[in-house]
Amino acid sequence: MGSASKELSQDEQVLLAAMQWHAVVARGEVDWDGFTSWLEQAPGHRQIYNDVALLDQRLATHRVALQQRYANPAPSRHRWVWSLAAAAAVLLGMTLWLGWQQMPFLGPATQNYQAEAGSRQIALKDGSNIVLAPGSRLRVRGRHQDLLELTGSAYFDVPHDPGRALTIRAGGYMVRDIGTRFEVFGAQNAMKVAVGDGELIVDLPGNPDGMRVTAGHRLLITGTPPVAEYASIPADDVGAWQSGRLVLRGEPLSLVVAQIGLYAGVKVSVEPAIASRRFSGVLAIGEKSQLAAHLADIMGLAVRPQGDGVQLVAVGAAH
Amino acid sequence: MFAMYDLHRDALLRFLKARTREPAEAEDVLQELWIRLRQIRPGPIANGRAYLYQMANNLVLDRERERRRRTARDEKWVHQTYEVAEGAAGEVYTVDTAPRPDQAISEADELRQLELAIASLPARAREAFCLHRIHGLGHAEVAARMGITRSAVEKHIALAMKHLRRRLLHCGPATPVASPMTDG
Repeated sequence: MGSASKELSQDEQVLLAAMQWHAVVARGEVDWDGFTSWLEQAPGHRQIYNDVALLDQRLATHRVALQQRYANPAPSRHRWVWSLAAAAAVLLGMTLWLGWQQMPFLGPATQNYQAEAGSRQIALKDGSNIVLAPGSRLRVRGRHQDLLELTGSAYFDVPHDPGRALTIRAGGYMVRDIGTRFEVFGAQNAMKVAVGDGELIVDLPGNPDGMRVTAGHRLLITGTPPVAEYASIPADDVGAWQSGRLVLRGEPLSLVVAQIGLYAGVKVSVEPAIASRRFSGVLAIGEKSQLAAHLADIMGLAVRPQGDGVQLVAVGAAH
Repeated sequence: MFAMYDLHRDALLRFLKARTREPAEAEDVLQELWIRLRQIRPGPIANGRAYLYQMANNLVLDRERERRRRTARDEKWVHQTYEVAEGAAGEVYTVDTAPRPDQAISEADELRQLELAIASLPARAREAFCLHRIHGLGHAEVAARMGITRSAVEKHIALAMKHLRRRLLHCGPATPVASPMTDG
């Protein structure tokens, strides 16, 4: 009885096809000739594709809020219990954190690593390998070298060990339950995690379960209040900067400039009015001084000096 | 990049004709693409053909989004009252209080619209849709999580998409909306 109702109607098939096309376009893996043919097949395809793509943009903007709302439908009738639990967890976390800070004898001295113009390789005792991107800093603490704090960008190759409590703090967020190959970028109130192999969890405010990021996906968190976006990416993208290519897929300019600032060696900012515009593309990070200019060219923006760095602005904004 | 453009111009135009409402708009977008390219200094760009198509597709999508915002704004504008301000000399100005197009719908409103629309989905369709589009699970993962077949997942997701499309994208002007929804 069920099978007949499970059959897709004509318009449902078209909708699913449009979603499929949108997914491959977003991943940069689309066969453009095939896409053209599909659009030509019926005049309605164009509109359905637009609907799917624009709806997805809206969902992406509000993903964190929606994830929280629809995370765990069952216990929602006890919402206040969760709030209480979250508050208790924050309190406990703060107590532990302060306690830890004040008891340096618990662990060996902190190691600070800084990569200047070139990247820097770091090996931890447990066999983990880290490549710290230019202009980035990593702090390693804890008896087991398992409390890391990252400012900037780094590529991690961490052997999976369920008994190990490695955490990475970046951009005000915490990455945990880590294995095995991934990259992290963290700056003020923003982070990006891309996983090539294995999976990990990123803790989000107000979401006790955290968000799982699996191989071939990346998570962006930007803004206040934070907005998180989860998307699939080719696993090859992960750590591609090590071979001189910075691969960016639909990332907001605020996050893009923070990343290229590392390689350019100067502070790059973006005018707030255009900070949420998206950029997709590959930038060659070898050309340090030209990075901001290249980005501006591609996006049709202008570059102007600001403080000891540069700022991307809309053309005609500086009248 | 211009060599790329020349090489693929016809194919791009064909794509854009299929991608836009009318041939004139396709030509417009192609023109805009060319202008954008002029602003790009020769730089390292991998896979120029895909780059051109991606750029063209984004331009079309931006236009479409703007068009819809404008429509939404115009519809809202009809219901917007004009505030009357009195100048120092007693002259009367009317002040257009319609929001700018980019502010036509505030983020909070937009989120509420989305939540209302998702809340109105049939339960199973909502579950499948949320796991897939909001939590990023693949069809197979959603099927495993919900204990149903992949084709059932597809059916649920298609149904959800159909509802959301109707509700969020094609609602007529000033549809009276009763909101018997939950709080928060």
